[in-house]
Amino acid sequence: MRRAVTENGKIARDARESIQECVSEFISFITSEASDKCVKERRKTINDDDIIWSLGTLGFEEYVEPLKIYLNNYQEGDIKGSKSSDQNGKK
Amino acid sequence: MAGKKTTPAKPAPSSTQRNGSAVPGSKSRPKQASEEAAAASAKAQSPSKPRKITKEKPAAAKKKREKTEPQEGGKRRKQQVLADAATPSKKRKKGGEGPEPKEATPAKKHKPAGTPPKKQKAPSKPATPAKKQQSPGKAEKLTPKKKQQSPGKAEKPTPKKKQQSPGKAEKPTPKKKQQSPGKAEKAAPKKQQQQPAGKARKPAAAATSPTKKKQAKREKPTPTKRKRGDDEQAKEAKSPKRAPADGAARASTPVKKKLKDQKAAAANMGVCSFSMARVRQLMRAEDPTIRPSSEAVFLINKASEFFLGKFAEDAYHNAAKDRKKSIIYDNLSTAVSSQKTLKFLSDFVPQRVAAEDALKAMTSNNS
Repeated sequence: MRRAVTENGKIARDARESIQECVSEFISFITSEASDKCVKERRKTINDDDIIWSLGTLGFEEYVEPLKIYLNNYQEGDIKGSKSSDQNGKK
Repeated sequence: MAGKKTTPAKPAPSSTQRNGSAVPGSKSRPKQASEEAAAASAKAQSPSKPRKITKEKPAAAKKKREKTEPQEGGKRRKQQVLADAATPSKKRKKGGEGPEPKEATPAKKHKPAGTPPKKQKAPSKPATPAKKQQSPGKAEKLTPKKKQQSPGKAEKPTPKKKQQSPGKAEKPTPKKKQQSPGKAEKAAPKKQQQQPAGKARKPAAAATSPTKKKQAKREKPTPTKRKRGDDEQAKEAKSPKRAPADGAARASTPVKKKLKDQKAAAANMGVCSFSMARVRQLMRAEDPTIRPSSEAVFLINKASEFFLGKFAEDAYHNAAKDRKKSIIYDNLSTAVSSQKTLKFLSDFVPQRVAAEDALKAMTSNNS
């Protein structure tokens, strides 16, 4: 959030709170769309494809390509080391 | 002979009043107004007496005495007396002056609306020579009366309200009586008006002028109402600002907690700015029956980062437009309203509206 603002820039408290609410709303928004799709397909697990699909339908197509790249890196990281897998397992 | 002499005496005072009103500056005008009022009161006394010819003479004498109060008026009156007493040779000269007033009258008529105060002063002067013409033959007496009426009309349309007041003062007393609320006074002026045709015309103009004054008075209260409305709006604007401040104070503690959680998450993961557990909790809150896979949680985490970045950039651009370095709530609300993709946030980040407008909207929805 600070990156978007210049070094001299500041963010008001009410703005921070509202942005946090926006982000949580964003997450639930995408999740609800993905869950609706899963319900139609009678599945109980949300996959990465579901998330990407929901982003596309909701108008956040700009995020799809960079997210795919991040997903590939994420999977590679998982394959590479046992430490990363342990962390994932814990969570 | 006696009757003829008495009639011309009446118009004389009106000319002197006009000259007096025109000569002085704006500051002296109110003083002259009081003097004119005194003269008007004198006229008021005279109308009751003129029933008999013999009584008319003493009334004229009283008028002359009162008129002497203004120095300028007295001097002019003396000159008129000398003119009246002039020999027949002088009378011929007066006849020559006749054409001058004729030329003046058409100029006034052509520019009734645009006549400035300076021009108005000039027409008052030629009025005196018109009256002087009364002294020569009978035939000439009729024409000068008409001329005297025309300059009066020209003076009436004066654009400035202040100038209109002296014009009214110059008018005969019965008109002023109409303005006063007394019933008894109203009856007397009506009788006087019926006798002369010229006087009857003048009261019509007087009737129109007071209506204008009333309109002016009505216009005055409107600006005060507007001011009150502005004050109320300002107060309403202030009140909603206080409420959000209280909300901010109350929510300060949870904000700190969230910040700490985020910092911890960043340290642990190194890449993601949001904690995976928190994102998973939010997803479960939406629909508890569904299980999000770790990959899905990761994707939403990254997506929310991008979302946050773009949202902050838009808000900052709005702040920059207002020439400010910090982001304020208003900048966020404008960003949300401007973009279509952020419509789902309109419920969470609505634009600020005055309480009065919100109440009106509520009442309209209910009805």
